[in-house]
Amino acid sequence: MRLLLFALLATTLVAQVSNEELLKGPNQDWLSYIGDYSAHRHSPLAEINPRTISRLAPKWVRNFVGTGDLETVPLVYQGVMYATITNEVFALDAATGREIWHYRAQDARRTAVNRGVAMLGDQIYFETADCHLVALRRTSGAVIWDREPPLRWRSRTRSLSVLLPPARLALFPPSPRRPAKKHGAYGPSRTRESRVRRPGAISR
Amino acid sequence: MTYRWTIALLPYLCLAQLDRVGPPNSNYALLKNPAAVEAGQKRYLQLCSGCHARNGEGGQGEGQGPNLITSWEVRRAQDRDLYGFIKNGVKGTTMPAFALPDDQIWEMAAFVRSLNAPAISVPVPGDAAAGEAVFFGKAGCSRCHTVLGRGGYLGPDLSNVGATRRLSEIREAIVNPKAEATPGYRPVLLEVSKGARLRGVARHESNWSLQVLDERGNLHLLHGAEMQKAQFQSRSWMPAAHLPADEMQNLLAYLSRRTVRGGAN
Repeated sequence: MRLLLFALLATTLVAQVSNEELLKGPNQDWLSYIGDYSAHRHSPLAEINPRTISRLAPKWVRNFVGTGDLETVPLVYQGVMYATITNEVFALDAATGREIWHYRAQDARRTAVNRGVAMLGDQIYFETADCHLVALRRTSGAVIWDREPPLRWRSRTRSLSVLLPPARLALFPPSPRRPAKKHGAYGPSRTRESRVRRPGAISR
Repeated sequence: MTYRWTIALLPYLCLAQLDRVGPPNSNYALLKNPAAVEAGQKRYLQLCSGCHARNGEGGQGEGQGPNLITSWEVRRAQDRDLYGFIKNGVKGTTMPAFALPDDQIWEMAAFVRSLNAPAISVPVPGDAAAGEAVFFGKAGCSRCHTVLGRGGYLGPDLSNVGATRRLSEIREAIVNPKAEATPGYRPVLLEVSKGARLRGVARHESNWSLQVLDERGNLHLLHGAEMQKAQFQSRSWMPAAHLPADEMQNLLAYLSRRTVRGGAN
């Protein structure tokens, strides 16, 4: 009976991305913009190595119409790839490149490159160029919420990725605040991440 | 020094503001007045429906009026342009000029605008809260459709339907749904284990792969021979709704206010 109940639960629940998985870092999945929280952006997969690299061949190609500048770091979870262009998210079958769902922020007022989404549980977090933070259902692409930016951010344009801090975990002590550079170099100083402590509550 | 910088940056600041100006179809001032829309509808039925048909879907055959619901010219036109089309006619077409008092022409323009505008910018009578209860209860819409994360998986998300669809489209989709599902929602029965089948929709299909979302919200990526697990069904999962008139109106009031980016209510 217990087994039956377990089997029933297992089939009714959508697979959840857990904090532990986010902390563990990349394996066959790639669950955050920077790979893991040490930000090495290194995959431990060994199939592609100096001996096999000459045999790499393109499997599929996808053109994102309407963008000339693709800077997204696609996340991959259970064979689905989540890629972004400005104000749009695509869920693609990673094996074939076929589109499973597509979300467009209909009335976004600005455009800018986008660097990718974050995921936790069965949700995807995405930031539009006009600073709206949007949560989408991971498997269907349906909107769960859309949060307006704070008033002082209304006129800003964002071209970043969303990064989730691991909940209830203090691996890294908060760094002392540094004064913002006047002319930030292209790179880390510009990539400030939006933070979602738990779905629904935002601090930036 | 700061002053000089300000002068130098001024053109860029002005340019930066440009993208905040909405598209030309955002001029819906007329629609704020439901009485005008209603009065316009009465006059439209007398004067315009002969060529443009009762609901504005346009006439059949030569010399008949175009479809006012989907017309790009109507959507793009400012309110004063619509006024001009009715007052002066349209040169080179069979659209005549109407010698009516100004306020009556404005009312007709308001009605024509209401045919074309997204549901959120049109006043819709009915009780949206009661409509929500119908959506999540009696009518069973939420078994397949979601609104802000609540609901099922077999139908499109309706969280932003007020901003993306016209009122007439929403009504038509409920009362008279097409037998054939829209692309991305073709119905399949999916064999998940021996003898167990789930309803699902093919979010994408090709000769080599099939991406199915099942009714429990799980994705199934089927490649090659695995595709045989999915059997296509001939009719869309969407049934026609049979609701009393007042519940239907409440449901329309609820759905037409659904937008993810404010503007609601």
